[in-house]
Amino acid sequence: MTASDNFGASRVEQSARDRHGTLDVHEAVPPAASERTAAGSPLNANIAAGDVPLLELRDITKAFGATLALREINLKLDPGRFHALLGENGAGKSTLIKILAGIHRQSHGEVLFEGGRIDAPTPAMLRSLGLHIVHQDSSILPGLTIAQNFALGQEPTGALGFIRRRSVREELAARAKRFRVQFDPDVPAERLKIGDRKILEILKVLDEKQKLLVLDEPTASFTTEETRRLLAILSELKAHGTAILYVTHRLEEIEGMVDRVTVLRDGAKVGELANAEAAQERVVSLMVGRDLGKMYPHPAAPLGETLMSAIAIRRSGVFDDVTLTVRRGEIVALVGLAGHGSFEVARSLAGLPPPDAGEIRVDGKPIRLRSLRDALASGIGFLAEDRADTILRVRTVRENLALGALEMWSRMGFVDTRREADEANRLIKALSVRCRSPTALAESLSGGNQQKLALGRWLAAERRVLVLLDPTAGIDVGARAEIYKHLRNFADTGRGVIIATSDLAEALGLGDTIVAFYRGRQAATFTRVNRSEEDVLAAITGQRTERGAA
Amino acid sequence: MTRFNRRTVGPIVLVVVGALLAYFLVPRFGTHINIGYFLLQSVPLLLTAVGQTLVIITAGIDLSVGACVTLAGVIASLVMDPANGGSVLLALAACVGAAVAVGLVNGLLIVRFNLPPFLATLGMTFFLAGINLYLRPVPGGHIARSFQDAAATRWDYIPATSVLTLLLLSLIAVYVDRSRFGLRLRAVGWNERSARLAGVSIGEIKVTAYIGSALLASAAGLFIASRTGSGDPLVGNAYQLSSISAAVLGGVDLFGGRGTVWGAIAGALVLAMIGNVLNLLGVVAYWQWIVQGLILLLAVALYAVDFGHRRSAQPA
Repeated sequence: MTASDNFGASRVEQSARDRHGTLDVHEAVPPAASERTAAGSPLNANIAAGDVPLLELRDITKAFGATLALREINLKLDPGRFHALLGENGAGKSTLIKILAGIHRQSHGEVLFEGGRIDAPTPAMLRSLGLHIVHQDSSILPGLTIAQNFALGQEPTGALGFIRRRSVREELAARAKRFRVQFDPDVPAERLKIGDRKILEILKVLDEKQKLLVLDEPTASFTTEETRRLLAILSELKAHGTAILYVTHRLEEIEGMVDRVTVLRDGAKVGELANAEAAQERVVSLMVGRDLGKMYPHPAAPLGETLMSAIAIRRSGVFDDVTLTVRRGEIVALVGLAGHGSFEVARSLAGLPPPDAGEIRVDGKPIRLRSLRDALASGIGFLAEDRADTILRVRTVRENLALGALEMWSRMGFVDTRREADEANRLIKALSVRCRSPTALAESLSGGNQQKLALGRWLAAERRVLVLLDPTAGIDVGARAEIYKHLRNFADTGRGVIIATSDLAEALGLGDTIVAFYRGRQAATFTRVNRSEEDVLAAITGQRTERGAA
Repeated sequence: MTRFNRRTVGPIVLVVVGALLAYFLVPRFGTHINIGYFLLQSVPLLLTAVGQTLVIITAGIDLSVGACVTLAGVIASLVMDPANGGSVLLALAACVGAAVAVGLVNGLLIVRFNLPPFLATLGMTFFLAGINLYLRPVPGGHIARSFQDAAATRWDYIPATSVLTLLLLSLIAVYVDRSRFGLRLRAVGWNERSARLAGVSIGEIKVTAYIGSALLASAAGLFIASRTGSGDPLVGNAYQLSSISAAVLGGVDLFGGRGTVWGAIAGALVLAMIGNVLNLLGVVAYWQWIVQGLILLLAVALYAVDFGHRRSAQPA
């Protein structure tokens, strides 16, 4: 480990900068780090001229197999600027950040930091350059204490590699004080709220050398209060000259702070705007593109009679007094922040686990729901959010499609393989699953096509109601549109769909009815007439509590 | 920075309660002869259990511990043989070198070639078993008298080797608790991806853990050789699984991250004590296995079962 990995050393370097100006700082870059940059030292004579951007992305292109995740992205970021990277889910924002972080490697193009090329960086190397990345996934380990998490990866050590615990505590306290937050160093991190975990991560990377802070959707599961606190910290940083690259799909939360906005769509840069305040509507239209209407198909027929209903269902300590109905032709979207009940209710409707109290009716008749098995027997189909839980990766496309309908396609306990093959071929065509052959292994398919298999399984099994959790998470835009189309078709043929989704845009586009959850209760119910993203957001963050009954 | 919970306090309670019960209920347990004997008997288990624990904390497992114990004895019995020059120092160096090589290969198989630790170390076990039998098909060879005597030193009735072993392992325990290596070891076991994002070099940590395990196993092998005076191609087999049992008994979580070296020390002492007590009581060997199995399951239940722990589903 290099000397710059500990707090003590970083302070020394800081004072070097104070004395001699910025250039000297580069001498403090440990040799191990600069050796890894392809072009040698990141030090570049142009910096003195002041016209070299802090960060420059040139023609970044990334292909995953046949799919282009990013196409020739160019971006420049100057010191002290707040630059927002906007785009819908799947637009390529996270891929771009992962390239910056060295988790992915670009297929083309280059990343320049202060004019020097960065190639295959490691976290330690980026840190030594003053480039800090806070990923969407938390790097906080719940099993370690706050102080341990804070120190991990940059432990100040004394003799023999023992951690200087006092210096960890002092540094943590100092940084917490600077941003007016409080952390008890000995508390296990698992007791921190999500917002505080993110703030701890930011404190962790804020040593005094930082020049650029990259945040990938930091507020994805924040309350408004947590967002406010985070932004207060960021504006303080910005005031001290740190550049910020902020990835989000919600422009409104950073209005007033942002200097420039880059909009990505389907892996391409579709616009760069100087001042976001005047451009909110333009940004949204850029983000979404003009195919919004095509992305989310509208219902073909009016809603029919009630197909399934849950009456005052409750799971102790998880959700309470939830009443929902799904009508023929209806797609009901359950939304809420993680842990507030939307996913839990959806799971309970499929018996995973069943509610403790309340009643579930299918076709007006109460059903006994003790497990997923009972739900399946009542004509409900269920897709978990993690495709690893639904798809058998090392079985064939055909077998995966047949899973839901094996009984229908069997004779005396043996699968009728000819029927299985015919039905599978029909489904592959109907869902336009892109695979080499029906006997290709499921793992050779893209995420979107795997999801189509999971969906196809229930189409084959002729379900009446589908319950899906985040059905398009991690799926590219094209496949998402297709999955929406299939769900719509499913509903339009007199059946019902319940989706729990963490993507608000998806709920707004697809849901005929949106049920918002807050703290385990229905906060509000919206129909297609007069609803807005702001209303739904307010409902799931507890700023609007009306008892909604569908 | 250890926190107090069932996993950290449990094993210590087990040792203390077990020792008190044994002292008062089992005749002859508290005699000087038996305590000296017990302390000596527990040395190899202590060493291998702590080595195993370093690996288990990274969410790995080292099945080659037993074969590595054997290897050290076999090497010592060959190199210390007067026919081969009979150098004690050379034998020790050879054992250290072999252990580093074994740990390095284990670690690299896992880190570089992405083999599951179970398979990598199982392969290593078979490989070493072959080497051991090739080098020493039947028990024999020669362990230097001076080395045997040094290992048999006693302070009054207390064996010096046992004291030094406990001292060494305590140092390792403190080190894992408080050093950068220890923190990173646990971080890797908790969640490799998060640890990597925090800037931890996963490979470095894992390889070090496997080398540590092999070195401690090697020390155990040398100790056994000093007691028997010869090399035996099968002597280490028992430690392959008992090192894991001791670690688990000590509250080390096989899924990684959770557990301390202190726990492993306690676990090894408990396991050795059970054997000792059952021997004193004249219990037949197969009953000893049954009792060990039951106690292991009981301990795991104690650590792992969630006794009505309330999960707060309501986000605050």
